[in-house]
Amino acid sequence: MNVFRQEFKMNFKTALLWILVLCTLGLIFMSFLPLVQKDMKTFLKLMDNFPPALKAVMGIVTGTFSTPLGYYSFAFAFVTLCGAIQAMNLGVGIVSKETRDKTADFLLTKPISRTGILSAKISASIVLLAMTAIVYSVIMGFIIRSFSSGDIDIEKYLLVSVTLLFSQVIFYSIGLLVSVAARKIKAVLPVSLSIVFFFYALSAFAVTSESDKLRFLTPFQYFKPVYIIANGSYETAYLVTGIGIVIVSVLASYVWFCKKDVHSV
Amino acid sequence: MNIYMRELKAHWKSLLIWCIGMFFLIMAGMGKYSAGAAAGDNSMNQLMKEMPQSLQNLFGVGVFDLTIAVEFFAILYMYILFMAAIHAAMLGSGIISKEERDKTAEFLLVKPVSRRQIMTAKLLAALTLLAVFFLATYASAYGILSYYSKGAAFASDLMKLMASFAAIQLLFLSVGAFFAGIFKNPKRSVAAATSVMMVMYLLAVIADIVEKLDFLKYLSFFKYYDAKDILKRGYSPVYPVISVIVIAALIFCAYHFYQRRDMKI
Repeated sequence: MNVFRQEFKMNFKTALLWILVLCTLGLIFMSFLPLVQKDMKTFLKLMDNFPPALKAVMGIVTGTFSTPLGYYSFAFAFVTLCGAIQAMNLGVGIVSKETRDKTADFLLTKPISRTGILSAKISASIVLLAMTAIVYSVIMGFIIRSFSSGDIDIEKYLLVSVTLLFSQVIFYSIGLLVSVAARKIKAVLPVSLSIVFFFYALSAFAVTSESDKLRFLTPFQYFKPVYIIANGSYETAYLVTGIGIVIVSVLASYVWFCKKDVHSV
Repeated sequence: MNIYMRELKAHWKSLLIWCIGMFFLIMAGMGKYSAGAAAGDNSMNQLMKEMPQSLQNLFGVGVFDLTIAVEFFAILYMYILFMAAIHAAMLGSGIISKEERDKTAEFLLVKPVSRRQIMTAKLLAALTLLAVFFLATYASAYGILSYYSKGAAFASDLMKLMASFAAIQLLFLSVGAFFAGIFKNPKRSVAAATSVMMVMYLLAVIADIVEKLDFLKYLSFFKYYDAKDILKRGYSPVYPVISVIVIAALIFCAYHFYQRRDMKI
């Protein structure tokens, strides 16, 4: 419990800062909604001259972007990116910092097993990530409400927003595995940012088709807001892959950490 | 010379990983390209052209002909720039601030070399690393494009894009060096450099979707080298001029402040 409390305290301020970043980001994007909607209306008027079949196809696409929720799902990609950075920083940092700050021997000589240490660290992180996602979702919900004229579909909004936490947990577990596997990580940011941005760039390439093998390679593509809003559910295959990644990396982290030779100097 | 060699040796492994990552990214991205398949009927192309510019940017269509390999590449190009930027920003800030992070600053500064010489050697090493990354990217893009373009000319377009790639690398390297020059805390300088990069990326996205906020493009290095402008809309020489001034100012400040500040020991 002490380890849990210590980790929570140490990372609490950073988490608050990230909540601020995520909400500001969402607010900035939502504040452009009126401008985008205006552009959209001009275009819809222009489309009157086109054949009805084409109009129907384009109408679905433009329709998504002109509703607050549809536009939010576009902005949500950037929120997820920032959330992933937060989670990855936490994951890469939380174990490796003991070696970096030379506190590993202090911690490991305490009457607590390595499994206990790792469990405390993981649960502290999960609580922080969950706190981030919940506070963000609540604040963002109010922001969206204030920008939309009518009601928004709360259930679908929550379905989309809660994927922030899912993505974060996936990235967290990957970061945790990396930090446990590495002998020593000199600095957290270069490692975590490289991994996150690599996945992000990869996800940009994986958007052309729905059933794309490439999508499995990047957690940014596991929860597509467009699909969630259209169907009101998640894509099972990707949800299962995500859970699989989390379970495998957390288990591997436990095994590795318990056997690891931790250098005290 | 010793410092230069030392830095190259310290960085070659991570450089290798970056080069492999870049090759993989370009390959995965271009794997989506299939000549002729994306060609819709004419009315669709016509409709795309009539879209408001913000919408075109939103969907990433309209400007580029996706049936031509090099124009398909131009769509991926934004993310390739993004990777170059993150690499250069972290390298520029890390290569200077890591002495303080690893507590080797004292050791280095008592050697019979001036701070100016240290800075010069480190920046030259960084430039060498950037050059290798540049060549690796160029070679990967060239090889993969020549496979996909099947004889169609692409060399001059690719050269234009890669020239901007180099400019982005230099810009973000100097941003990194600037922050490492002024901030005492090594963690903060890396975080500041990467935050600048993230903010600029978001500004580029916002400038893309909201036509009214077009002036934002002057605040984002990514918009200085927009593939749409370079290949299609005509390129303004204003941007390279701004870039040179910005790089010179940042590097000057990096030298200036690094020579005067206290080291964190």
